[in-house]
Amino acid sequence: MIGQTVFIIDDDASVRDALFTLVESVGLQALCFNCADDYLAQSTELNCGCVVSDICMPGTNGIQLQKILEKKNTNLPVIAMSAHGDIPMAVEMVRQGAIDFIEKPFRNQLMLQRIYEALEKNRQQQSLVQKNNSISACLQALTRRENDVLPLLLRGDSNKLIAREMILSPRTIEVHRANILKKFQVKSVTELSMLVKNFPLTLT
Amino acid sequence: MEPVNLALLVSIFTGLLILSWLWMQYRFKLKMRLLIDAPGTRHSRNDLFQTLFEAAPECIKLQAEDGLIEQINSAGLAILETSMSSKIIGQSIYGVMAAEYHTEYRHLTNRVFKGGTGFMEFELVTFKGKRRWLETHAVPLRDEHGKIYALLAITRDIDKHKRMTQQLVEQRNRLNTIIESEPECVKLQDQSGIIIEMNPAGLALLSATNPDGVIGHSVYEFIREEYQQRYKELTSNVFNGVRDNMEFEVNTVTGGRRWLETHAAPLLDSNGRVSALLAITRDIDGRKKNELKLRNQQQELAHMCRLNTLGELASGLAHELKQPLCAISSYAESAVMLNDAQGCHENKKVNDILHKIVEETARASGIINGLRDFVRKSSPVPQAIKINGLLDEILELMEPERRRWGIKIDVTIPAGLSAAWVDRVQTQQIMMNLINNAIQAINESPQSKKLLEISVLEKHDQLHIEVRDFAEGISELLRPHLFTSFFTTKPEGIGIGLSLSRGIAEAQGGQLNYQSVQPGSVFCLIIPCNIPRR
Repeated sequence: MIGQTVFIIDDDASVRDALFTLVESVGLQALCFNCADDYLAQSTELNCGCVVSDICMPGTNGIQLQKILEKKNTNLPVIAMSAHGDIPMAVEMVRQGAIDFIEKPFRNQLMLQRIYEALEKNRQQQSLVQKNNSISACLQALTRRENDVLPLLLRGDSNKLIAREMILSPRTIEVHRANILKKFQVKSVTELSMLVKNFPLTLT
Repeated sequence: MEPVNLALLVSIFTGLLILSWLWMQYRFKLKMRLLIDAPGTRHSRNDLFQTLFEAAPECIKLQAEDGLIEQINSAGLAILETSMSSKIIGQSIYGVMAAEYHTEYRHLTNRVFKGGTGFMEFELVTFKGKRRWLETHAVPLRDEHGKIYALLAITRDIDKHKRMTQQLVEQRNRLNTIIESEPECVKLQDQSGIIIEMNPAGLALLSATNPDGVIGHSVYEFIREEYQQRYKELTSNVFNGVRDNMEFEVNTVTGGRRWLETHAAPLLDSNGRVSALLAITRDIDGRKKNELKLRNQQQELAHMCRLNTLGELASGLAHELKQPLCAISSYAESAVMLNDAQGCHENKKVNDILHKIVEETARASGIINGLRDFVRKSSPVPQAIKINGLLDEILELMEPERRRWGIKIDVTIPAGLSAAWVDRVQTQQIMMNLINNAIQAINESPQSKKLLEISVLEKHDQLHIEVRDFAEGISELLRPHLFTSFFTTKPEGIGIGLSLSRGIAEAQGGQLNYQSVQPGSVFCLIIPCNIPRR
C-alpha cells in the first residue's frame, strides 16, 4: 500500500496539470486521471488520500463518482470542483459528503487547505479502521468466558460483583480480568474502556 | 339690214327675254301661292314643290291650329304605317299622338300660331298600333298679309335613336346601381390624380360623409406621402394602357389611417384612348394589422431565441473560459510558492507580477460570472442586497463600453442606506439597460457632455436609483411610447429593453419612470427596501 495520494480527476488537461504542479510543490503525492472511470478502474488499490474531482466530465460525473466511492466504503474524501458555479449541484455534493465544493478558478491556498483537511480526515479514518481492526482481532482472541466477563468489566463492576452475578469465585474473575487486559495490551480497565469506546461491541 | 334695225331687233329680243323670265317668275310664284293659298288641294301636280314635298325623306305636314292635319307627305304616311293619305288628312293629330304628350303639343301649337317656332319629342301610335318616337320642328306659315294660317312641321323618326338612348340610360343606371352598391371602392381618376367619381363604398373607406370633400379633390390629398411616388408610377402605367395594382396607406378625412389595396385599369374612350383611370380599391386594414402583429410576434420570438442562444452560448463559454483561467491562476500561485520555497526573495518583482496575474484571472472570472448570471433565465429571488455592491458589479461589466466611448460615470451613494429587497440579477439587468441606453444617447448627440450620473436616494422605504444623461432627451412625441413593447428609435433595436425593465421593476414591487430634464433624461428605478410587509 502506497502512502496518501491526491487523486486529481479532471477532463481539462491544463487544470489537471496546474493542480498536479500545486500538489507536488508542497511535497504531496499526486496522480492524474482525465476521467472518473479511469480512476475507478484502479480505486481498490488507490484508496488512500483524497480525490479532487471536476463535476462535469464525460462518462461518470463527479456526483456519481462520489456515490460509488461511498458504496465501496473507501472513506476517501472528495473535493469537488466546477466551472459552472451551480449552487444546487454544490449543495448536492456537500450533502453527500464531499468535503468541499470549490469554484473554478480556485485560489491555491484554499485548495491546499481543503486538500490537507481531506488528507487529515482520511488519515483519521484510516487509523480508526486500523484500531477497529486490532480491537476485533483482540476480541477474536478472547475465550467464551472472557467474552462474557468483558461487558461486566467495562460496566465498572468489581470482581466480587461479577463473581456473584456469574456464580463464580472472585478468584476466577480475577484471572479472567488479567487475561483480558493482557490480550488487549492495556494496563487497566479504564484504558480498555477508552480503547473500545467507539467500537460497536457485539457482545453476547 | 341696217344697224339701227339690228339694234332694235336685239333690244326687242332682250326685252322679250326679260319679259319671259318675269313671266316665269310670276308663274312660279303663282303656282307656289296657289299651292299654299289652297290647302285643300289634294291632287298634287308634278311641279317642283310637290316633288320636293314628296321626295323629302322626313315627314312634312301642314296642320291647323286645332290639330287637324291638312297635308302630309308620303314619308309621313310611312311613319304612320299607312299608304292611304285619306286615313289621316282631315283628321286630328291628337288621334295618333300618345296621350301623355297632348298638353305639351298643344302648347307648341299655340306658340307657333303666335309666331314662334317649336321643337319637341313625342310618341306616336301608328295605324298598326306601334308606338314610335318622333322629333318635330314646327314653324308658322303666313299668307301674303302675314297672317298665320298653318303650322308646318318637319318630323323625323327618332325611334331607333331614342330607344338606343333609352337603352344607354338604362344601362348607365344599371351600372350606376351596381357601382353604388358595390362593397368595394370604385373610382375614376384623371391623369393628374383628380377624383372624377367615387362610389359610397369609396367614400366610406376615406371615412367621408360628404362626396364634395373627395370628388374633385386629388388622390394625393389622401395617399400617405411614402406611397405617393409609387402611386404616380401606377397612374402613369395605367395611362400608358397597362393595368397595375399596389398596397398603400391613406389618411382618412377624420384623421385616421387605413391600409388599402387598389387594382387600377385604363378606361378607354370610343377612340381607344385612355380617358381615365378606373380603380377598384379594398380595405386591407385588418389583414395588414394582423400581418404587423404577426411580424411583431416573430420579432419577439426571434429576440427570445437570441436571448436563449446567447444564454446557452454564455453558459458554455463561461465554462470553457474558466478552465484555462483556473489553470493560469493556479500556475501563477504555484510559481510564487516555488519562489518562496527556494528562497528566491530577490524575485519579489516576479512574485508581484504573479500575484497580479492571479488577481486578473479572478477579475476575468468575475466578468464571466456576471455575464452568465445576466443572461441566465431565472425566476426572481428577492434578497437583501447592498446597492453599492450591485452597482459596482454593473459598472465593472459596463467598464469596457464606458472606456470605449470615453464616458465618465459619476456615482453618488450616501452612507447608511438600507439594503434593497430585490432579485440581484434582474435588477442588474434593468440597471445595465438604463446605463446602456444612456451611453447610446450620449453617443448619438455630439453636443452632449460625456457624463453619466448615477445617484441613489432613500425615500419611504424605497430606494430611488436615478440614471441621468446630458444628451438630447426624448421628444415629447415619443414619451408616451417609451415603455411600450416594440417601440424603438434605434435601427437595430427591437424596443423591448425599457418595457421589459419596467415589467421586471414592477414585478419586484418597484417602478421605472422617466423624467425630462434640461438637458438630458433621467430614468428613475424605484425598488423596495428590506423585507416587504406581507
